[in-house]
Amino acid sequence: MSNFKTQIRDWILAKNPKVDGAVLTDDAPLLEKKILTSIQIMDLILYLEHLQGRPVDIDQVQPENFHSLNTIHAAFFAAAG
Amino acid sequence: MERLAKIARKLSDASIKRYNSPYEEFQWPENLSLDDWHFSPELISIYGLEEFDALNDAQRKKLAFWETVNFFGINIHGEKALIGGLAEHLYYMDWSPELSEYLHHFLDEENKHMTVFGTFCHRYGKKVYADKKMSFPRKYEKGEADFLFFAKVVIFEELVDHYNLAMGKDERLHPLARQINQYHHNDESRHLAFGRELTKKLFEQWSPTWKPETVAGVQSYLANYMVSTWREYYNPAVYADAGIDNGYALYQKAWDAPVCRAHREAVSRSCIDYFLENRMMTEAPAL
Repeated sequence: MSNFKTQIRDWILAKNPKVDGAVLTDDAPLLEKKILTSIQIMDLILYLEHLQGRPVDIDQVQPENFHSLNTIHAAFFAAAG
Repeated sequence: MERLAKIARKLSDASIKRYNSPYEEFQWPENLSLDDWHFSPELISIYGLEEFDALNDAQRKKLAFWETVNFFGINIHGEKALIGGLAEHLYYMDWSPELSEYLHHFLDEENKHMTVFGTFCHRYGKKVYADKKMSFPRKYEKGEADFLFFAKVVIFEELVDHYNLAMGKDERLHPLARQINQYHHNDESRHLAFGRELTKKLFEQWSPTWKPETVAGVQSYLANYMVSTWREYYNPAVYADAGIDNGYALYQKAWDAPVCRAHREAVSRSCIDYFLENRMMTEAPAL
């Protein structure tokens, strides 16, 4: 698992202590499984900006980017590997 | 809806009486000096933290300026969504004509507010901070989306109005900042009276027809919405523009700090009481 993906995973688990870490696989549907709430996305975007070291271009962000850890990684960190 | 129609008629009369043009109301200086306050220091998001205490007067005023740009940006994004939703509710078939008549005023006034906030941000901040809220499409029960729209309007407007009211009277502020806050508050008090009445009415009308899980869902959604609305008041980009290092860490620290939480709770008190009293929330949000 990439470093960024691990950091995002840790962030999600820290924000949602009731979530069982075993459920949070790379492909787990975050909103559907209520691992993350839609209301937490704004907070997550600020965290992604912090990890990236630059602002997220919100006009380019789609709801489906937040489907799973894999889609978040692909949307925001694909270039970083 | 008869009581609501009466209120709407009264509010329309008040809107006509107070009809104004923001293009005539405001004089825009070429530049603003950072020697002036543009935001009340006690309302600055990190007020009460050691990081705020460590700033000198010039640094606090610079931070206050960027907090103003952020606050006006919150208003712009909130009102942009509001205008879209209000337009959709014009001429609803089962609503009385008085409601549509007032929605025309509501829309007109929100559009004017946005031009004022936008002028300030573009002219002096050279930007509007981006809106980080995202909406995720889903299915609604009948009446649920209408109710949620107006309930969210109440939350958004109650919070901004607390700031507008305080800063509209704050003699320390540059006259332009004071005037913008006062101008906004003058119209918001009418919007809030209307919004509170309509939201309550919609909940009374539709919630008995919803499944229990839908009722529980909207109650918890509104509590969460209030939390996310508050998050917008803490912006790492503001701290960076004010020259403060580690903006993200400060954002997190401010959000978690008891002094900041106490501020959020105090500002939200009357709004939370309204939602609890009318059973639109079952418990106070964990702010």
